Amino acid sequence: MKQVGSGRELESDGRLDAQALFRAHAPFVASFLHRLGTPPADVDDLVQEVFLVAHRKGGYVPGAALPRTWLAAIAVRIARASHRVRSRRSETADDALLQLAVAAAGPEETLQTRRSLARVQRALDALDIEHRAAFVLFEIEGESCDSIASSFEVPVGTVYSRLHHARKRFLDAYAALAPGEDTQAAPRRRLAEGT
Amino acid sequence: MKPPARLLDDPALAPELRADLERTAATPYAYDAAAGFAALHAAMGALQAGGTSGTAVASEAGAQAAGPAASAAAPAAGGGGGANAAAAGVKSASWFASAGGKLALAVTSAAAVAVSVIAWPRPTPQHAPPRAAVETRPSPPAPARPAVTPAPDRDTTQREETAQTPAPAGDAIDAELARIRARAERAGNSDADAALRREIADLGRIKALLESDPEQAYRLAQTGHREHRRGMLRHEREGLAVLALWNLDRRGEAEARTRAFLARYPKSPLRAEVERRSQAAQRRGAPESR
Repeated sequence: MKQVGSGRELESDGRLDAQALFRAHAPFVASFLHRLGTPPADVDDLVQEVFLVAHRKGGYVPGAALPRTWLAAIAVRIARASHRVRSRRSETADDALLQLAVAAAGPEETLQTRRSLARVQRALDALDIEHRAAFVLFEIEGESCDSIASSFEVPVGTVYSRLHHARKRFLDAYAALAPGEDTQAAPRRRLAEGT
Repeated sequence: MKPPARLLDDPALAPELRADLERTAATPYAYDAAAGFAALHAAMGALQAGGTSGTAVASEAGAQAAGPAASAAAPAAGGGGGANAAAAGVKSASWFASAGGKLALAVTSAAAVAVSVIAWPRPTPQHAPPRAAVETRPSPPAPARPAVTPAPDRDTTQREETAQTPAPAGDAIDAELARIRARAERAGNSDADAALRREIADLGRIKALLESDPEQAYRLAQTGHREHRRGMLRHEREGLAVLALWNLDRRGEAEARTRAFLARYPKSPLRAEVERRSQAAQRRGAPESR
């Protein structure tokens, strides 16, 4: 059995253990969980859970699913369970925006990026988690439908269907955003309204 | 069946939406991978050493088995169902414990908690990674100052309100710790209180190391965020983490975390101290060194 920290993280058959997966894909998993609607305060914990599950599963085994979509499928299940039992819904989109301050570039660019992310995140909020996952993986992360289908253990036609519906809902929600709206104010309005 | 084309490949896509999607795709989430890796390493080591059944797998299995509309309080049916129910229950129990036994949650998740007690004899989720690391910490030092007069017991909202009471900046941390400690002293001996006491003790360690070893203080604060995932003192811990960053001269991170902290906790008793450090660094035009 492989020891933690032994450095033998890539097996001869191409398997990847949890630590190798973490090194390569932890930021992706964090981004993905956040885009699924996980509050920033919970992202770190859920990332840990994802990789612990990967560890207990024995790591990634090469197949039709790629490592990222394989991890994404785990993340969706964990996020779904987390959403179901989460009681603290007070975390705001502002929190997510504030996280970006770490990676700030110029002020104007930062502002534009914050607004873009806020708009996309708000439109994603209109999607349920299955549609949201498919949309994020395909449209934002650029994963293939085949890999998504294999990871989520659904027919590829189901992925197409999810993407079709996800796009429609996303575009409708995006179109409903006021043009040029200060999207930093909107989440605060939602909070004030108790929604 | 023809695979769909990506929206970004659609020439008719609105320019604003295209720009938004491109920026989103190009902007990673600000994730502390180094701290996450350390926590994962510790958790995996604990799993190997303990050889216990992992909640993470059961949690994932439960999440997999349960459909989106399934209730978290679904009764267990056989071994697999037990894991399923426990998966939901563990999270509920964890939150319940850290929330100090608030009845509001108990009403909504009582069934799930009850099932988890049956199916999950260990109340502490095994995936709480940093416990092993915490065991190596030095014993908790005594607080730097004696506790101030305890404030009357109050809930979080009330605490936020009374946080407006002006206090000398240097005393803010001790005063807050003392107030929290006093509240815990009056509490009973339930698991929730034990969790709160642990969290308070960790906070005391962070505070004690803030000046002498800010790197360790920051590391403990980050670990604490993960360990006390549903804890009640995240706000205080984050304030100390920000102060530790200033002490470490990690100006970029300190500024970002300061902005986030002040925006998120505008009424924090630590606000004055955090602002003082931030403004001092700005006045000097160079990282503040203490």
